[in-house]
Amino acid sequence: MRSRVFAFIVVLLLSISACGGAVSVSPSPSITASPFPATLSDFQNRSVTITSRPERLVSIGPSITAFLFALGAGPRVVGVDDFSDEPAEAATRDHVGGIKVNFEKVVALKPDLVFSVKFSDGTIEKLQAASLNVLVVDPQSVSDVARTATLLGRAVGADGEGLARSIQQRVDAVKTKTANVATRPRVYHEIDASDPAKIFTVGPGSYINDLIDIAGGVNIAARAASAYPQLSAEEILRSDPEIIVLSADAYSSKPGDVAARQGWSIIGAVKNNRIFTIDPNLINRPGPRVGEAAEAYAKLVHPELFR
Amino acid sequence: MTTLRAEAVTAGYGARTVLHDCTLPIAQGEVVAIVGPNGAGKSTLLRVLSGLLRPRSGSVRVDGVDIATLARSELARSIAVVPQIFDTVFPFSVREIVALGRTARLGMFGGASRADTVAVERAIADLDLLDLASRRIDRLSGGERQRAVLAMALAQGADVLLLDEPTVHLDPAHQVAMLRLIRELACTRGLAVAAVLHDLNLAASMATRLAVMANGRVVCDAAPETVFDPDLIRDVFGPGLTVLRHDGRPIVLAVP
Amino acid sequence: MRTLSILAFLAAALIVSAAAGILVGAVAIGPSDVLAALFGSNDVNGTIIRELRLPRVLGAALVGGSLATAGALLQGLLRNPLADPFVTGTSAGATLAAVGAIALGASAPIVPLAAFAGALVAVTIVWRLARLGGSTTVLTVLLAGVVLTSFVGAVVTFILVSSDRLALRLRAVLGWLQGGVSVISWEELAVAAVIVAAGLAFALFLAHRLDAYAFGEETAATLGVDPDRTTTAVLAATALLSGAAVALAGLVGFVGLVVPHALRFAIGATHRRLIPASFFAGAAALVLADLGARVLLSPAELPVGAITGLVGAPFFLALLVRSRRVVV
Repeated sequence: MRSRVFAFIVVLLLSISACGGAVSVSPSPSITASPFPATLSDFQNRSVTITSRPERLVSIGPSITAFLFALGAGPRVVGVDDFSDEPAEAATRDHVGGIKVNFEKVVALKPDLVFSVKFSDGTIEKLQAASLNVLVVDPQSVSDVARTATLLGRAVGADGEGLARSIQQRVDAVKTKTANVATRPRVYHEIDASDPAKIFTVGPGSYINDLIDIAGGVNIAARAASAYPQLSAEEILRSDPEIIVLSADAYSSKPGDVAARQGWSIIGAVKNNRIFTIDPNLINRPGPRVGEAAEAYAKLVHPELFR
Repeated sequence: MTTLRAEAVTAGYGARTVLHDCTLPIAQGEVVAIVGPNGAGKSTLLRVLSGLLRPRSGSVRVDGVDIATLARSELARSIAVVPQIFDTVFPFSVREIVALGRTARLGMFGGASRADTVAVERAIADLDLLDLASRRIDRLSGGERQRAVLAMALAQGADVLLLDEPTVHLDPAHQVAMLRLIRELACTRGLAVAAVLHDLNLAASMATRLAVMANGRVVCDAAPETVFDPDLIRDVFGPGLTVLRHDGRPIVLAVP
Repeated sequence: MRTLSILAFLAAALIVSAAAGILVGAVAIGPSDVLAALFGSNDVNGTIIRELRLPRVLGAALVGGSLATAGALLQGLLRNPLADPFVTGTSAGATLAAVGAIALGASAPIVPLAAFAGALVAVTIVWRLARLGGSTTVLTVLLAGVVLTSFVGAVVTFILVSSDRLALRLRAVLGWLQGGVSVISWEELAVAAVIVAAGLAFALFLAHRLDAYAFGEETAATLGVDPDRTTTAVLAATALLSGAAVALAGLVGFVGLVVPHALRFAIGATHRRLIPASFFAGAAALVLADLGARVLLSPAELPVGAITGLVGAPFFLALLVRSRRVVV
């Protein structure tokens, strides 16, 4: 009888501690056992072994850089690509190239681990041929973010899961609020209209498409065939978006220019002056600020819910 | 009445002077053949007469008016030139080519008047081109094309007609016929005609006068009888030519 | 009378092509809706038809018409059935001037003026080269065109690669450079229409004088045409027409070459007939080419220059083979 009560109490205690762990908001206690050596599977399903904690990191990819710094591995980053401008400190590291990677520079930095986005021109193979350890990380959508944080955390010995969780919570918070809206406005997000015959927007599988959905809107190109489809002005006019979102960077069109386009005055978004710009750093890449991005986007789509 | 007159013309190209003090009057009804050895300046004189080359000194007058003072379109109404080159890459019909002769007289946007149409048809008839009028000019024989451009020049309705070697593409039988035709037209239309010819005998057969040129000067300007003087022929054309009489007319022959 | 019936037929062909161009687009709109749109319906379809498709079709017509007319003028002047604004590099000169103007930050109305100036310089260079005469004339002219066009391509590439700021401004230009009438504003159309009308009137005025060039400049002179004045006028008219076309739609090749060349076989060489006929036929041809550009790889859009090249080049080869005498 006493052994059964005792067993019951043990089970109860275990359950409580288990529940407590699941509900806890703070990051889980740091892993006391050494995480290295680690064998990881990267975004190209390559199996990569990291023998010891890497002290010199090279990051080729702005979102990777952002994550590394968010994970506290910033001090260990010795080289970044030309586009890594987030956080500001990252830009002070040595640059290893932009669209074309400068292999000599990467090798000269003697990195223990090189992180890179996907390349189709043999860059990854070339880096490997230079006897470098390469981990391919290429987040494209919101759902990739958790995986990225976790993978990077394991690679550098930091709490990736914790970061993933906190991001996810912020995103989920937005999702919950928008889940039950009465109407989901039609949103048109313009990526590039520098060639007016080839207007690029976002489609299924893209990060911004996810943001629109989370923010409680409907992407007018939600059923397009690719992640970055091309639309004609006719199609845009016909879909009559209620909200137009532009990136607030130098390369994108300004709201005034969009409103002035021939024939666009008939669009709801133009008539009701709902053409907005959004911080490019939030939408350029799925990075650690995804939660913030979801909130910012939701403010544009459902201002009544997000003050 | 003299219709066209070159008066003391000196002319050349660049630094070269080709013509020296040439005078040549051509009256209505006259057919003047300009003859002489190669390089004598025959074609150059004709270019000056047609207004294509401006003389350095002297003048060319048509009906007393200095042609240098006339605009191209006015000039074209007084002086017609039969072109030496009549190859064209474009599929103009014979009638369209003849109609080109009226260019100087058409309306502002090229509208043709009744007079224009009549002149074109008359030229076609005179040159016996009626059957060929709708055919493409690039599909005709050399002789037919020559007639077409002659008709074009006639359609201009000018009083003066200038020709440079009009028979060079024709076989001998056609050469004689062509020159006879020109002589006839000169008569019936009252034209003043000057033609550069290299064949002395042909020239003599159709011209009222021969203007003999040598070294850029007109050395003799007279009827064929007078010009066909053995001494003169030798002086101008060099040895190897002799003058014979055939059927009462003088002819020049090369004697080997 | 024959002239009038030919022109009426071609004008009708243009109207039919334009109708097709307005009826077809990325968004399906039925004919009754199209008609309502043309009469000012206020809905989305109306806007699409009136603000997007109609200017585009009219633009294509203007560009095709001016290029074909410019081609007829150049062919008559150079006495060479292979000449056209694209082949002789006139369009390239216009494009270079326009790109230069855009790179230097010129405002919209300046660009067509720059294009006109560029066209005038280029066509004058070509004319001077042609006058050097002799049997190499044609080759020289064509080579000049090839060289000019390649040069423009190289300069534009250089600008794009060398400067991000300039590249930014020129990105919008890239699509236009490849030959496209996709987005034309009513303002651009109005300006272009005025220039084209002037060029066309000029061309009609010069038409019968251009016939006189059949046997060369000297014969033209003895027929009563002042060769210097007429040549200058023809060059100016060509520059006006090709400059306007380039300003609207960038580099569109072969229309100026194939249309007058083919028409000549059908209606003869007299320019009084050929020039207006070329205008209508060229306009219809480009409207149809633009239609093809929109439809062939839908939803993607080809630049209309690609269609004219795809169709024009083999067509031209066929013409070459057919005509027994090729002046090269």
